[in-house]
Amino acid sequence: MRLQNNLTGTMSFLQSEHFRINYSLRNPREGQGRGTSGVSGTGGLIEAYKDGLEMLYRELTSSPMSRPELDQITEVHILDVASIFPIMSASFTSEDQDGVPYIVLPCRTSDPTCEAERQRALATAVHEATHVFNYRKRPLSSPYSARWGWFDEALAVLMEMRLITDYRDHFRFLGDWIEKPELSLDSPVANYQAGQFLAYLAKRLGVEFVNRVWMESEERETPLETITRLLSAGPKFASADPDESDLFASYCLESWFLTDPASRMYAPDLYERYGERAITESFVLRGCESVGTNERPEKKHALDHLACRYYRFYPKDGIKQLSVELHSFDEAGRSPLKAELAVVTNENRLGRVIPLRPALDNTNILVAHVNQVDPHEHDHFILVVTNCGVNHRFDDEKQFTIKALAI
Amino acid sequence: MFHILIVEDILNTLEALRDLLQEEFPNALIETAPTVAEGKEKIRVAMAKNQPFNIAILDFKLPAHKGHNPEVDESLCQEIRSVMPETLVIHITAFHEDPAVARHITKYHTGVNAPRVGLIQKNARWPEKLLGEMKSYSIEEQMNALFGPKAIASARSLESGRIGAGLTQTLAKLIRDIATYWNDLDDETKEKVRDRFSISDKQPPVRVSLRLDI
Repeated sequence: MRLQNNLTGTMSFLQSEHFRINYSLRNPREGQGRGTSGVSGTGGLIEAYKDGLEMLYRELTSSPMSRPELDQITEVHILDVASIFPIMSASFTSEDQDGVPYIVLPCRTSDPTCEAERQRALATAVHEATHVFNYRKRPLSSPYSARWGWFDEALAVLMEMRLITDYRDHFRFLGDWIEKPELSLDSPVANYQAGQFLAYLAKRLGVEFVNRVWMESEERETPLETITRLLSAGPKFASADPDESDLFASYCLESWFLTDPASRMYAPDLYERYGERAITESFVLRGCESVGTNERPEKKHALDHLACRYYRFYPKDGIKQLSVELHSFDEAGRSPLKAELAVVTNENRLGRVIPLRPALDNTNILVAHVNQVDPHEHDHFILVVTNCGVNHRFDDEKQFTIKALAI
Repeated sequence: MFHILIVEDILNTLEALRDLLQEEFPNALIETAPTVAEGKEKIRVAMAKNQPFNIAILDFKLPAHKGHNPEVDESLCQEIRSVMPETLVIHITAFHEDPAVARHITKYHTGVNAPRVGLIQKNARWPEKLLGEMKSYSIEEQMNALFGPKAIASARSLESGRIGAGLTQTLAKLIRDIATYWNDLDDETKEKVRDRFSISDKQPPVRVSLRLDI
């Protein structure tokens, strides 16, 4: 990317092994000050950017990801991004007219300390440099790149998680992951949150699997199609079959147990910051009492594809048995909804998981029974309803009600 | 995601229009309804999901429910005006000189909070005109969201652009759309685009890149 001469005249640059960082100083020793377009010179912002860019370069080009080296130096521009995009001070990656990717990083930050600024700069640089590597396989200008946008961002966030371990900059957007489990995995408004799913995939199948999804994708495939293809010999990606374990529903279930060390989504620091994921509704269950949403048609809930909802049941008054039902509104046997009832132990850990199966007399109803509720073992129960459909055209807005009966 | 609603009671026309738009806007989410009641339900669900329609293509004469006779309907425009006033409403009509059409435009599409309207006359070139209008609108909306007054509102919820689609993907989509639609855009939209982007259109493919020198 070549900037016009009115900028280049006052620009400095820092060349690292694989990046050329172009910037201006707010208060240069000689010549015109650049005001808001210049770097203050305190705190080592440019050095932090350089360190983050090279850190990512080393990570992606070494085992286990072993991406090919980039064939040219990448241009990085340090600018007042708000002068281009009002109010925003975000970084971004784009491409010039010759199809060469470049990075723009903000010269101004609002972090309260130099250390906070440095940590955020490292994370931002790691994030954007991931896009440059990803660009090589899928240029942003390709018409087939749109469907990979969420995976591109999620992969960049995963790299932040792996490399910037002292300062969890990515937590700033995980509030939405905590509060909106009903957002689809590939929703265009949840690109960053999807990093959590890639982190889960990496725990289950290794980070090299996540890398393969990007690198071995075919031009016209979607990320979900590539994942499904690469999983052909392993677990299913998503399946509403109660007898079939699948990655997506397991991810949703384990995501509830942020403080259980046995959970692959164990993240006590995330829990400390935001608490547990949002529940749709909690119920207190007393003997011979029925609770739920199905007696109230206005309380029908809905789920879009690749999203989930959590319901919580607290048994009281020494109830011995519990049954939980999910009523869907799809043709019998055609619903993409999967439901699993999980015991939450007194230590707030994941206990037994009971899948809801089709009721004998009506396959539109899924049901699970707990025949011996043990108050010493069962603190409460979590019902996880997951939409395992993958197509927004056919699998969105799937409505259902739930009902629980205690004896 | 570009969100489009089509309400049309002639099923062949509805399907043909949906297919045409899906081909031209492959990443758009297109919803269809054959009656006023179903159209209103689509609007309700869209609002519940905070995904208002960018464009609503509405027939003038629609049945209220399945099996009813089509009649001039103004309730859909009224609904859109009240819950998603920024939606571009496009009416395709063979009766563009009908006084009822003029009255409707005055009543529902004028004033500060009224949804913008495009009136497409049903003649031999109406699909071309429809697509041109939609493409220009799409580019202008995306430009507004990134550079215009709407950017300020959206930035407040973006927390430094690190929530949602992100600046990289949002910008990439706009650049792809400009390159794809360039030859169909009206002159006014092209001029706005050139203020922010360098365009190389001497020979295909059209190449677009952000201007960093402004």
